[in-house]
Amino acid sequence: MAARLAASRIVHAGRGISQPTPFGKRMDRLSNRVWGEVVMPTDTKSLKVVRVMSAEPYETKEQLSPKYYPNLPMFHYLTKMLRFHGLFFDDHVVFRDVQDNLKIIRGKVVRPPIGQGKRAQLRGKK
Amino acid sequence: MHRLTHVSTRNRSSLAEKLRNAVGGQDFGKAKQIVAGGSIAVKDEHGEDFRELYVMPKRKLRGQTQLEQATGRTEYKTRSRFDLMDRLTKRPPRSEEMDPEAQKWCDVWPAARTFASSVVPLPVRMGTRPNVEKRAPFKKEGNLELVKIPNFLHLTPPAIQQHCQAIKKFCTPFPPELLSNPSATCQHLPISIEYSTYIHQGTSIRDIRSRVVTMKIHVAELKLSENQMEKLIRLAANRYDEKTGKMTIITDRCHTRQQNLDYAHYLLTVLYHEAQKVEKWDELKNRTDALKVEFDGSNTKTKLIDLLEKAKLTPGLSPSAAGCGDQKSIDEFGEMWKAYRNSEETVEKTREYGRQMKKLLGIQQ
Repeated sequence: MAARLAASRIVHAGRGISQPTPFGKRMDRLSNRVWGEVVMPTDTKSLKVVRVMSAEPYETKEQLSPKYYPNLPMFHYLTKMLRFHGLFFDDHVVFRDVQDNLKIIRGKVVRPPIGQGKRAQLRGKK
Repeated sequence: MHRLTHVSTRNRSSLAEKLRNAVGGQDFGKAKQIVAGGSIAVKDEHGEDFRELYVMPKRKLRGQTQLEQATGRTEYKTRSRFDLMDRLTKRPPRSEEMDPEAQKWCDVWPAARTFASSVVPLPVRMGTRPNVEKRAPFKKEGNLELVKIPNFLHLTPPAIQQHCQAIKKFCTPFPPELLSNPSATCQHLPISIEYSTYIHQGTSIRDIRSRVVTMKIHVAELKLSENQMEKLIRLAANRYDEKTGKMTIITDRCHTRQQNLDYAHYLLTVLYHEAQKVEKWDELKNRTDALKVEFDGSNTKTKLIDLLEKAKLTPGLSPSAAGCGDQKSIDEFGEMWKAYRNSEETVEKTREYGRQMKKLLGIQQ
């Protein structure tokens, strides 16, 4: 009995605003109308409309736009072009060039035209 | 094969030998000098030098080498790496050559640019690893994550100060009367507006958070009457701060900052005029609708008066001596009671309540 009626438990902050007195009820609705909020008390399902309409539109969300993820040029083309301009260096490419030159010096054919390779010659014999 | 051929060619040249001596130190070419110094300059009948007699080769024999290894007197020659020329032509990172005292960072990094690990002299790390306690994230060299993010290394305090000095000639001085008297700001400038500007990177340079506008108004400057002020406070609800006397309006519904600012001004106008209106349902207001709990008309006052009437009939108490039943005493008690009920409960306030009650009833300590 004493704990329930203790002064610290009596609500006095915002008195008349949260209590459903006739005057307080009308004042609350007027305040909600002024601030552009939901005027009448509404259930949670109906508040979904408020949540949907107040969200950021899809067309302004840049994470959802294709331009946010630009298409990069193909890797092969990038390496060739950058190596041509001297901005890209690959040890493996240099090594393969050296090996090709050595083959040419030894009299071998590097990358023969189509139809004149080793496999084509064997197939021709059949 | 390509590198080995190149290396062997360079290894046989005199320049390579000079570089090897320079890199290897002073002891590297000692043997040759000793041999050269030991030769005897003797001429034969034709005026030519005597050819050196070949008895032993000019290198250490295998037996001698093995003896040195067994007794621990081997001297290992330090040879430079095969890519010495390549490494000599490469410049070390700029951050290692920097002198923080002599240089100005604004000259090194004057404008916004991509992160360059060779220029930034900071040991920053960025990235993720499965176990960060075992291995730290990746260093700045070759770190693509650092290249992706925008950095603000060009906005150091000295750089900002330079910019402020540059645009100072376009500004006007701050009003001196507001500087000398800060409280006058509320009278002359009752409305203050706050907004934030963001640096954004993406498909658009505009950040959606920039649209938020915060407006703060000193409500006392609206010159409203008591009833109108009370209605304004009710309409504002939790946007009004009683301690500071300010009302805060935060608008973020429109897409641009200008629209939100106009909306904030519109809200202020609506509140001002609504506060001055008188509705028909204002008559429905009763005691429980007051913003503060009032002493007049409360149950406490009724019970208090009844208690005082009974106290006069009690022989044990002496109400006449303490002015019991006096209206001034009851009003004083009412003031204390109102403050007690409308503020946070504390021990001192409770004791004051008890003290006032005893005083009213004439109870002596």
